[in-house]
Order: sequence, then C-alpha cells, then structure tokens
Amino acid sequence: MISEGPAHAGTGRDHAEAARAFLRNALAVHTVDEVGHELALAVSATLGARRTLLIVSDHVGEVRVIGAGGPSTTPDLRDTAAAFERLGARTEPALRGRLGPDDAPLSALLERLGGDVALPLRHRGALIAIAVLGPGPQPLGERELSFLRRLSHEASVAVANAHLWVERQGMAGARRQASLATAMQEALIPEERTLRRGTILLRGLYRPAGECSGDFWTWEDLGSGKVLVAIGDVTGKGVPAAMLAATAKGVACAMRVARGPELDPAEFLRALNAGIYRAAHTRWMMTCFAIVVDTDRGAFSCANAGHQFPYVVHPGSGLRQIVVRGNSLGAVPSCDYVSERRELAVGESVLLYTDGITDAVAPGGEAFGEKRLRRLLERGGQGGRALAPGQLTERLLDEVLQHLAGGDLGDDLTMVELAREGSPL
Amino acid sequence: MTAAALVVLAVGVLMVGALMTLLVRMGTRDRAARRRHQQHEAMDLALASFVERVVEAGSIEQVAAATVAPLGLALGVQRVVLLWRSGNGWSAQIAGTRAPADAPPAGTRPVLKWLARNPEPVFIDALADRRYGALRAPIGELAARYYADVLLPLAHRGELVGVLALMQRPYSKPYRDDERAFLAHLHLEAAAAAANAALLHEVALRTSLEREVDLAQALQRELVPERTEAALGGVRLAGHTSTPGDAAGSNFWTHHKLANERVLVLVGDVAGDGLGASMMLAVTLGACDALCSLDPVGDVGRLLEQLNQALYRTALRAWVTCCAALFDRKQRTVTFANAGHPFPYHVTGSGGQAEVGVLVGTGLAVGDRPDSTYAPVVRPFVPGDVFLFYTRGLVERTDAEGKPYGDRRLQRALRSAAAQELDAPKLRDKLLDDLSTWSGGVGARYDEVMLVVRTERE
Repeated sequence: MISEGPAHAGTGRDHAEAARAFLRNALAVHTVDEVGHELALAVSATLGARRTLLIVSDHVGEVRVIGAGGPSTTPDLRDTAAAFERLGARTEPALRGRLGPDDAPLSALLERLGGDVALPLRHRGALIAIAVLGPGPQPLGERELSFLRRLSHEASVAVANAHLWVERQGMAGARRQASLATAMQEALIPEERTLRRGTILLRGLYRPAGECSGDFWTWEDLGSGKVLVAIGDVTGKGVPAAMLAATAKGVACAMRVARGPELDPAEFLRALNAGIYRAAHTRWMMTCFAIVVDTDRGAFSCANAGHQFPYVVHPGSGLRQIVVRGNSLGAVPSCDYVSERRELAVGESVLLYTDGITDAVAPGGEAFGEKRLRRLLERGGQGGRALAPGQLTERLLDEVLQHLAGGDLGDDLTMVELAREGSPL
Repeated sequence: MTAAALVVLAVGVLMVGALMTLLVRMGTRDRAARRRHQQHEAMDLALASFVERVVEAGSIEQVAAATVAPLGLALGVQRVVLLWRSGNGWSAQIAGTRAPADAPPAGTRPVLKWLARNPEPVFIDALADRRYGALRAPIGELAARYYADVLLPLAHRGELVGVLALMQRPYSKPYRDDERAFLAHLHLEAAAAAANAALLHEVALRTSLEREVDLAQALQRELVPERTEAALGGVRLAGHTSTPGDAAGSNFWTHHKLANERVLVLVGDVAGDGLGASMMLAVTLGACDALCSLDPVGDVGRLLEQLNQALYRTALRAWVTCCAALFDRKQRTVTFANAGHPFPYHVTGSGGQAEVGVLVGTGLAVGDRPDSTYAPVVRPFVPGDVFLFYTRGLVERTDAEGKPYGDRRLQRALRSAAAQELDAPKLRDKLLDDLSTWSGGVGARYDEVMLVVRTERE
C-alpha cells in the first residue's frame, strides 16, 4: 500500500528528467496504447510500481483499459462512469488510503484494479483518461507526489495528441474528395494571365479562402469581336458552393455555343437563374454581374443579378460605378433581367469584384471596406500615378494582403479588370 | 621585540589575512550560489507558469506568445520570432505581437525538412558539430535573418509545425548548462502544445470538410434524384440512380418537356472520380439545361454537337458519354443521337410477342474531339412501347462470386417485365428487383442510372 512516508531514492531533478523523458517518448509514438506503454515504463522505472493501467474514454464515450494484459487480469469496469465523475472534480492524484466516503466509486474501482493511486488526465478542461498505478516497493513522499503531478500533466498532453492523431488519420477520405473538387474548380477558373482581345485587356485574379470557393469568374469568346465576362458569388463556401459555380460555368459555355455574338447579358442571367434554381432549389443563391463587350469599339452591354456594382476607373477624372440592378439568382424558377449599354473610353478600366476584398479583416478587426477601395482606385498607383491597364488587380491584391498583415482571407476573393488600351484622347 | 615575537606576529597577520580571504571567498561563493538558486527558482516558476498556460493554447501563434514571458524572465531573451507553415510556404511573425517578420531565406527548405526529422534545439554556437554537415550555412543564414542564436523546432511525429527563433541575448551571452536544460524542457512542452493545436485545427477542418462533402453530395442528389417519376407529353418516365455507399455520383439523366407534345431525355455518364466528377456533372447539367431550354426544335444531333463544343476544353478534360432521345407523340417517332453511350433498348409488342431491339447511334464521347458530329436516327414507335436507358454501372453490378449482371440478363428481364404490361414505375421496380436478387441485396458497385420510358396509349 502506498502511503505518505520518507522520500524514495532519487532527487527531484531526476524525477523531473524522468517526466520529461516520458513526454519525449510518448510524443514520438502514435497510439494511445503506445502512450500507455510508455507511461507504465516511466512509472516502473521511477517509482518501481509493478502495474500501470490507463483507462481512456474515446470521442464516442467508449471506455477501455490499456495495459491490462493477461486473461486473469481482465478488468472489471463497473462504475467507471461514477469514478470518472469523482476524479473529474479533482486535479490532484487520488491516493486510495486517503479517499473520503464521497469517493467510494473511485475507491472501489482502485480496489478492483489493484491500484493505489489514480491520476486524473485532463486536457482543455475535460477528463480524458485515468492512470491507475499499482503499489511500489517504497512509500510515496512529497517528491514522488510532485513527480506524479508532473507526469499527470505530461500524460494528459500525450494522450490528447495521440487521440487527435488517430482522429486526423480518418480525414484522408474527406480531404481527397475536397482536393478532387479543388482540382476541378481550378480547371474551371480562367488562368491568371492578361488576355488581349481587340482593344480590350482582360485580367482576373481568384483567391479561394478554403479548399473550394463559391466565387466564380469566366470569360467566353463569343466570336465577331464579342467577349462575355461574368463574375459571381454563391452564398456560402466550400464544395457545395463550388458545385454551383460549376453549374454557372456550364451555362456560360452553353450560351457561348448557342448564341455566339448575339448573346445578351440579360439572356445569360435568365438561363443562369434557371440553372441555379434547378441545382440549388433556393437553398443556395448566387449573385452575378455579366458584361458582353465589343472588343473593337469598347461598347458593352451589362446586366446584374444582385452583385456589387463594378467601378469604372478613369485616370485623372475619377471614379464612377455601373449602377444596374437585378434580383439574385436562384430565388425563383424564372426571372427577368435587363441589359444596359455603356461605353468604355480609351484608358478606362472596369473593375468587377466580389466582397472578399471589402470584407477582408485586419488582425485588429478592421474591414478593408468600400471607402478604402474607392480611395485606392481614385489614387491609382504608387505616388498617385495612373496604373497601366491590367495592373489594377495585382495592385489591389497587394493592398488587401498588407491589410491582412499575414492573417487568412476570411472570404473568397475574386477581381477582374477589363481595360481599354491606348492613351486617353 | 624579539625575533620570535616578530615571527609570531607575521604568522598571525598572515593567518588573519588568509582567514579573511577565505571568508570573502566563501561569501562570494555563497552569494553566487544564492543567485544561482534564485535563478533556478525563477526558471522553475517560469516553466510551471508556461506549462499551465501553453496547454490551453489554441494555435501555434498562442504557443509562441506563451514562450515570450518565460524566455524573457528566466533567460533574458528579448525577442522570439515564430516561423510557421502557411499554405504552401512559410510565414514569420514576432511572437506575442502578430507583427510580421521577414520571410525565411529562400534556401531554408532543406533546413526545415531536416528539422522535422531532428527536432532538437539548435544552438548556433555549436554549429561546428558534425551532425549539421552541409546544413551549417543555411542554418546560419536562417538564424542570422532573425538575429537568433537558438532555433527551437516544433515538430510532431516527423512533421514540422513551426520553429521558434530566439534572438541573441545582450553581449551574445552564451547559455549555461542549466539554461540549456531549461530551454530543453520549455521546448518539449511547446512542441507538444503546438502539435496539439495543429492537430485540433486539422480535426476541426476534417469536421468542416466532411460536412462540405456531405452537403455537396446532397446537392448532387438534388441534381439527379434517386427515384423520379413523371408523366408528360404522352410518355411516362421512371428513373433510378444509385451510387456506391454515400459517394457523390457522376451518372445523370434529365428530361425536358418541349412544345407540341414532345419530350426530350438525356442520359449520361461523366468520367472521373468522386467530387471532381460531380463538379463536372454540375457543369454538364448546367450546359444541358441551358441548351435544351434554348432549342425549341429539339434537334438531338445538334444538341450533342453543341454540348460537345461547350464542354470541349483542354483544361476541363471532360469526357462524357451520353445519349439524347426526343419522343414525339404526334409523329409517333423517337429521334435518337448517341455520344459513346450504351445503346438503349426498345421493346415493342406485348405478351409473348414482345421484341427487344436497340436504338443504334454512333458518335464519340462528348469532350473527346472539338468537332464531333452526331447523326440523329429516327425510329417509329407504337403507343405502349417501352424504352430503357441505362449506364454501364447497372450491368456491371456483380453477384456474390463477382460475376456481372450483364446485358443479356438485362434484356431477358426487360422482355419479361415489358410483357406484363406494367407501367413505367412498376417496370423499373421489377427490373431493379431482378438486379437486387442477382446481387444478393448488395447495392451498386459503380454509379448506376436506369430510365424507363413507356409511351402511353391514346
């Protein structure tokens, strides 16, 4: 029977080193069983205890005992829950000889398992395991108790990490599925390079916040110098949002083939609305701004389905928004949109964007915001110089990243610049 | 004064001197021991407080922040820089401040790889040690970037989660043995806590990924429902789709009611794996629906050509087998075009007279070539005729011994079921029963689609 008494041979520093060695070894193994084995070795080497059991409760609440080997030592786990409850209320090692009447379930468990000490292993406030130590050759002194406290802490970390490690191994399937979806989405989004068509330069930039994104942008060559450019944002994130973005891509491809240069942005949004409604049944919605631009003359028609109004940046003469309104996509089976005609002057750029820019939040909690975006677009490049066409998206991304100061993007971020080349007249 | 007295005096003076020296030395040693003792106590306290704090850290930044106070108080380290994996690269920040630090030098990757396997503290004054070999220069460069003389790798089971770079102390004061022991302990606890935070993050990510995958699968099931029945334009449809386990499928069928009592059906199979194929399925269905809604004529050959032009993109690598059939009740014809898909069956006649034929159409799979053409084939039908569209997975379902169900068995089952004059849903269920009996109740091995179309009698 372990009881308070004269110190066992070995110094406090030896014990501290033993606890450290245990943690080092326990962190190198993979399973809770292996941690239990390391614990038994450490206890046996330091205190001479002949028996160490680890009672663990996994994430589904199933209790099992590690280190009970041998048919004659099959553990009796009656009242384990009550013992867990009693031990959960304390942080100190429980010595069998010193337990009060309230700790009867714990005493009974220790007796049945032939243990003299129960160590509560707690992690992030929860009791995750109990280590039961059998009698050793020497009585326990204050130094040994101090060792047990330290060991209890180290074992808690090791058991928690082993649990998490095993749980993480199970994520391979979900991760593989997500990466398949990510690869497909990357193939659906246009490459990040400047595209020249007639007098128009087109450059898009897409940064998903997670594995997959609900942001969408595409361009389609309609023939006869016409190009469809569309940007969209699905409510929500991740793989489901990416599947709706994929539906949108299918609609855009089909409309290119079916309508060619005759395609009208409002007609495109009508078809897209039907596609999104059919796919999502109002559980998810999407916003989209579509432009069909005549790349030779700079004239364009545009229609909006609940998306942010794009900006037209005119070097030297400020900034204006393209205010065209329309309902978000996917709320009703059929919805009408209206196209409006505009002109893009030489030297002007249209910036289409998703709210990932304005919603980018700095570590201090400050959002990038619409005002900052406007200020940057008005000011142009470094020192107030006008940015050359095609430089807007990179410049804005730099600003957003600086604002984030190393933090993560909270939302998907997409920008598309449509610039008319040449010097202003 | 005698010489003897002088000698005694001299000896006395010497002895007093020696005694005083001894006392002074003892006092100095005592003070040094006391100071050392105080330092050890400070280290123990700092460590105990660190251990208590770091175990609750929820991120590697919090682990790094928790090291700042003990390292400053116990060792006089004035700045700690945390390097951690961020996306595909490595980021750096000053621990406890979130202020960014310079990114690690370009040639650091081999060092970080090595540290993952050798997660012991690296003291720059011991770089001459053999174990560092050719990595001396890049390790030195990495440490110099942060004015560091100690690097603490935070690794777990061979994976490097982060590195703490400890800035040189004033006057580049070297570390004593007891200080190194303190660092070793702090390092071990920090590595365990960093691993715990990283694992927690990944497990949370897993939960969120699994939820996403579940939602995507639910969305996919909405795109292609498991069982659907419809009566329109003089035909009755009954569809069935099945995927192995809970996976998202990539087989589809869709239908559109056109003007003049005509019904268009499409059945297809998107090549690919898992959610990647499901994404491609979403693209395909988006395109199909848009094309069908725009084409009032219902030219199935042109429809497949347009679908091919829409999906043919090198980056997408779409490869979709599908067939389209337009049922015209007034003309009593079915117009059929095929893009590499298994030929559908056409059963005409009833009772013992039922005959099973196939709708033959040739054409490459959609996405295979940029300019594929699909010649439509027109076939008459008699009201009451049955058509069966399916995907390969259906006939590839196996019995307990691994023998596939096969086309012949499907034909026999179809002839027998069609002879019973069942309506489309009952006919579908009859065929599915036969399939299930064959497979001994085991579900789909691959994605399956079955679509039964029964033309209605006047």
